[in-house]
Amino acid sequence: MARVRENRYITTRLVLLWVLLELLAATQVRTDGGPPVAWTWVRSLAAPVVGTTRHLAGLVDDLLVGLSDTQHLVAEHLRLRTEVEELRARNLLLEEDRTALAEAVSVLGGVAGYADSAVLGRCSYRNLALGQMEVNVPANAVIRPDTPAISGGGLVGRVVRCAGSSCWLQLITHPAAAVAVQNRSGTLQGLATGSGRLTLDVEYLPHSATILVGDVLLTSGADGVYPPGLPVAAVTRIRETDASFLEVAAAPQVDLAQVRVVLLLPKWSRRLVGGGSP
Amino acid sequence: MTVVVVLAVVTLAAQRLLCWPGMPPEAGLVVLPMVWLVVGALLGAGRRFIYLALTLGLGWDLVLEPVIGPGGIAWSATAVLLAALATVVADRSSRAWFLFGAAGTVTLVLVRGAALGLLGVPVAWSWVSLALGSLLTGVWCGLVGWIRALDVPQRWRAYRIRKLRS
Repeated sequence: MARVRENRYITTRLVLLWVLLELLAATQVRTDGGPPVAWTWVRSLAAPVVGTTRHLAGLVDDLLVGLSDTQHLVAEHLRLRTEVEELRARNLLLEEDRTALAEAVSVLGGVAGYADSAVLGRCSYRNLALGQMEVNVPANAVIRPDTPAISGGGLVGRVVRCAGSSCWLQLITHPAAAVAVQNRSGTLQGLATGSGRLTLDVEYLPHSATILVGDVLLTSGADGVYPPGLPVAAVTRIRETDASFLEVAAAPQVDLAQVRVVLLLPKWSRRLVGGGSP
Repeated sequence: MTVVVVLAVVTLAAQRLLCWPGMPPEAGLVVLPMVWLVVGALLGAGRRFIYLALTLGLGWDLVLEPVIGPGGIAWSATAVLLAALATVVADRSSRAWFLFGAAGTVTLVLVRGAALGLLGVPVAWSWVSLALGSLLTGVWCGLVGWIRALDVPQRWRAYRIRKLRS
């Protein structure tokens, strides 16, 4: 047993010595005048490790680049999504503006002669309880007080104050507002005044007046503020009382809560000064 | 031990002389130090002689080779083979010396060629030179074995005794 162990010991030591001697020889031999064979061996042994390390480094580098790109993509995606939402919202606003403009154009068609001089105003603030509205107009537009304002459907009110590109309107529902109105045939004249709510009171209509619920009242132009022929309100209630005149209520033709765009008719004032009428 | 070392150095020097310019080309095929491996194997020098063979191989490299290392491997490997062969061969005659010398030479040349081949160093050898080298070395070892078998000191003593009696 001891002999076998000794044999193994000697064999192992001998093999190790052979390996060392071969390595010693490899440090002395140069192939083709190049580096020693030992260096070639070391390089051959190290090549897979170096290659693997390089590949791993490349992989890590690619991974980092990929992560960075992913971050950029996510950020870009979020930015684009925000932009899309913004564009959608803007599209909705523009769609509404287009609809309002189309309505305004149709209204202008009803008041031919003012279309070329009308000024577009965009509603930026409204308070129906106070009967006020603020609209923004182009900075170079000259808007005087009492300029009529119309929207899709009919009359909105009149300008009471302008400062730069901002104009304040008094809505026809304002308690101090009054519009001279008539029926379509012009046989019946009256005065529509604001009630402070979303309705108008039509005054000075005699008991003999031929008027029904649903009749549309137009501006008559007798007040010198509004041009004639603009739809103002539709009759919603008629009561006969002991008073001298009928008690008539009307609803504005324009949905004042939804108005976004109005048309101002500045030329009407000039025509009024000139004494003309459309 | 010192005598052995001195004799080993002498054989290495003689080996170098065999390759001296002007000597026959076949003279270099004889491996003179091989006899020390045969002695170690056949006379039972123990396993330590393997390391002595390795040292002898390094000395061979130092004196006769451009690269140090392969000789040590080849000589120690030959010693291992001869030691193993000696455990299964009972013959210790001059014929055994011849055969051990020839086998050792073949092993030495082949192992040396393999060790150098691993390094990419081309080795010039042929079957003819291998056969011739092993034959000459075997003869050299067989000659040493035959001389040793003659037991010259014993014969000399006997001769002296006979002469004194006559």
